[in-house]
This record gives sequence, C-alpha cells and structure tokens, in this order.
Amino acid sequence: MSEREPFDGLAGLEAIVNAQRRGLEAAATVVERMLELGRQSARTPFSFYLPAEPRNGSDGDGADGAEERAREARRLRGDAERLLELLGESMRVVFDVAVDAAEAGLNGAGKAADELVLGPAAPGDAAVGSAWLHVLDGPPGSPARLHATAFTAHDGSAIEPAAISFEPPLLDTFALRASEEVIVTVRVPDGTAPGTYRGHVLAAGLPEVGLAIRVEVRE
Amino acid sequence: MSEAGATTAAVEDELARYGAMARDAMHAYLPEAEPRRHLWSLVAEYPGRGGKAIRPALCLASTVAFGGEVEEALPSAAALELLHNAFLVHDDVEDASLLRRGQPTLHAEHGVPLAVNAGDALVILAGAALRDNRRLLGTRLATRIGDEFELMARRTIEGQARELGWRRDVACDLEPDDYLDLIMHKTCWYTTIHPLRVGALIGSFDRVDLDSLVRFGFYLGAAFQIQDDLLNLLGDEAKYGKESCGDLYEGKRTLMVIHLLNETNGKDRRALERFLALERPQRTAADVAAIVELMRHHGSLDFAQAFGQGIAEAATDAFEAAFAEVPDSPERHFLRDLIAWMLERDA
Repeated sequence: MSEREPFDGLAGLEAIVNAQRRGLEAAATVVERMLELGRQSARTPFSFYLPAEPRNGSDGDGADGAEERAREARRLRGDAERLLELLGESMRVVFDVAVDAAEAGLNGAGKAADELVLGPAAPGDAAVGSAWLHVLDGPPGSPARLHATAFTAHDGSAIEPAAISFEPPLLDTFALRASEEVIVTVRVPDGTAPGTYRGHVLAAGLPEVGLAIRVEVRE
Repeated sequence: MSEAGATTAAVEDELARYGAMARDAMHAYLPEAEPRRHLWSLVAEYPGRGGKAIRPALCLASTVAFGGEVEEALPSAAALELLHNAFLVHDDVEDASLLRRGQPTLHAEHGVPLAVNAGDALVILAGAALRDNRRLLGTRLATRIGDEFELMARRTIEGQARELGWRRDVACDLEPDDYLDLIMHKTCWYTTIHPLRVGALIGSFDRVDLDSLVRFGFYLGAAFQIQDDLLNLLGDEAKYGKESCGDLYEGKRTLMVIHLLNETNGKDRRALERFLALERPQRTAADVAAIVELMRHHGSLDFAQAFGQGIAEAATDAFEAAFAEVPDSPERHFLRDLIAWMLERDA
C-alpha cells in the first residue's frame, strides 16, 4: 500500500480516538441488533441453540486427559446418532417393502395393483407365486372364496380357471385391516401354446377386489 | 523477519494449506461433462483462479479448534467456496467489474448470459456439497448446517440488495453506522460469521452457544472489509487482483466515501454527489483521482484506517470471549492471528 500522511499531533490523536469510539459504538449496536433479530425469528437456527457446555472439566486429571475424553464422548455421541439414523433408515426401507407388497395385493380402493408375474413354466408344469392380500375397508364378514378368471393370450388361447388354485382358498375378512399371504398356483395344461397369459384373481362377495396376474408359458 | 512479519507469514501458510484442502474438496463437485465450452469450463474458472481461502480456512480451523476432524468439515468448506464463487460471478455482473483475481471477469470474457448461468450452476453445486453432510454427519447436524447456510445466503443477498439500492437511489445521506450494518449483512455473515459457526457446530457436534461467534465474526469481517476497501483505493493492482479504485468506479458507499460525504460541503459535496449520480461508464479516471484527492484532503483514508484498527482491537476481545472454553491448539492460534493479518495484508 502506498504511504499516507498520518494524523498529526494532538488533533490527529483525538481524531483517531473519535473514529475508533464511533466505530465501536456503531459495531456494538449492529451486533446486538443482529442477535436480537436472530432471537426473535423462530425460523432461524438461533432458536434451536443448546446452552453452552464447557468442553473441559477441571477435574485434576490434566487438560490433555479431559480433552481426550471430551473428544471420545463426542465421537461416541456422533456414532450413536449416525447408528440411530441408520436404524431409522432401515426401518423405513422395511416399511417401504411392506407397503410395496401391500400394493401388489388387493386394496380397498379397488384399484388394480401391479401385476403378479408367474413363470415361465412349460406345459405340464406349475407356475407358483405369492401375493399379500389386505382387507382395508368394509364390514367384517364371512371368509371370501378366491377364484380366478380365465387367463387369455393375445391370440385368444386360454388357461381355464380350473387350472388355478389358491392356498388358503378362503380370504379371512373377519378382522378389518387383516393381511394374508396367498399362494397362487397355475398348472399349465399340456398343449398350451407358448406366450403371455393374463387374468385376474377375484374374491367372492368383495366386488372391489381384483389382482392382475400374468403367466409366462414357454415351450 | 519481525515478529509481526513471522505471524503474517505463518497465517498465509495456513491459509494456503486450508485453501488447498478446500479446493480439492470443491473440485470433486465440478463436473467433467458436457456442455463443457458454454457451462462447465466457465463454472471452473473462478475456483481455478485461487483466492485467499479465508472462508474455508475459518470453517476448517474452527471445526478442529472445537474438537472435530478437518475431514468432517470438507463438504461444508467446499459448499462455502462454491457459493462464494457464485456470488463473485453474479456480483461482477451487477457491479460491471472488469477484473477478478487478476484476470478478466467471467462476463467480460464470455458475456453476461453465460456468466449468469455459470453462477447459477455454482449455487446448485454448493447444494450438492451440502447434501453430503447427511452421510458424513447425520441428518440432524446436516439439517442444522443447512439452516445456517440458508440464513447466511439470505443475509448476504439482503446486504447486496441494500447496497445496490443505495447506488440506484444515489443515496448520500449515510453514516458509518449504515456502512457497518451493510457489511454485517453483505460481507461478514458469509465471510467470517457463517464459517466460524459451521465449524463450531461440526466440531462440538452442536453443543456450543453460537452467539459469541456472531460478535467475533462481525469484528473480524468488518476489519477485513475496511482493509479491503482501503486496498481497493491504495493497493497494488497486480498484487490485489482487482481493478484499482474499482469501488469508486462502481459508486460503492465505502467507509471513506461515507466519511467524505459527511465531511464536505459546498462545491466539494456537490462534486461528490454528481460523481455518485453518474453511471459507471461515465466516471472517468480524472473524476476518480479527484475523489481520492478529496479523501486525502479531508482525512477519509486516515479515518477508515483508525476505524478499522479500533474494530480489530475489539475483535481480539470478542475472540477471547468466544473461544474461552476452547483448549489451546494451533488452530486456535491461527484464528487469533487472523485478526492482525486482516489489517496487515496487502492482497
């Protein structure tokens, strides 16, 4: 920086003192105003502050030991917090999987869930899969018998309903919001043409229920 | 070498060390992708030009001083640098600045539309860096840091709006108090207060009172800004890296300008007001030289220097209060030594 003439003499000194005093007074006002603004605002992080905790105790063990313990406690706290978050994340994933499974079954709104895909299976073999069925709504009633429509291919070929069975064959609707896993077995009749066959599982007495199923038949 | 000279050299070594760490972290977030010519190469320009790295250094040193590890703060330091570079790109457009870190500004080289777009991209990249805090520090602390980031950005933008408004409205009825309030928002929050607070949050795992860091950060940042204003008028352009007297060409209400407005009357005051009412292209080198001469004559430069010195001394007291519970360490020393360096630096 180039040289500049400093304030001269007593008048210069007084000017310096006045400049500094003015600066400090103004700075203190600005800081207090900002802190007050922070305290007033519930949205800003100011409102979440925890009280200060001394990092080192004066327990006579020496600063190094206390500092090391404080670091260790901090690491443990951090690890525990991350572990809890990981656990929470795992639970969320488990929950998502359960929800996905539920959506693959029947739902109370009667909307078609994603298809249940079975196979591929050759004629004479069985294609087996499972679906979770959920009774989300409606009055408790007698167990509902499960049955299937014919499964048809694009060219009109079909697998008749008699080839499709369920275990258990009845859906227990006694308890509201009951969930039950149902094993669906499609025995592919001899002579069935290779291709994709589509059909639906239905529940007697529950007209809103329907589960789409696709069976892949190979040669 | 004098004691002060040795301290300055040590501070600059530490700044370089922290700067290198932060730049490495920051470059990990810069995509090597298309469109390179019109976007990503522009985005990488300012980060590649270096800089003093004060912000990441404050964040990283504060993290370690408060008990953390430097690696824990690298995404936050990278986010800070990315946002800082975004602000620089946009500021240079708003101020019609010509030089940045010794080279032409981004908009001067590539045009305003591409420069503004590159600045937008830097903001987005800062968000990506912040997101990595969740994996590194857990959701709760990462959210706290995100809140701090949002608060800092908001304060900075508010300060920038105020300064641009003063220039647009040709504001002349200003006091040093207005200047301090401006730089609290525009400079201090993101240059010093925020980096210190984020470092303390990470280092203590959110177990310290951050208000005391607002006070220290403000005094430190104000000392920095006042020295920056003086360097802009009197510094060596090659060393300083910005256009000499650029603040005057841009009509900024620096502490010296505000002092001069309050010290002059009659024809000098009218000349100053006329100068401030001009658009940047209308301000000539002769106009600027005349204003600097008026500042010398009316003691505005000495006033600003004394004012800054007083603020720096108050920063030392504020430091001792903010770091009273923090054990002695090289990082603590570095943070304290920064106060003197703010006033001694010439770049």
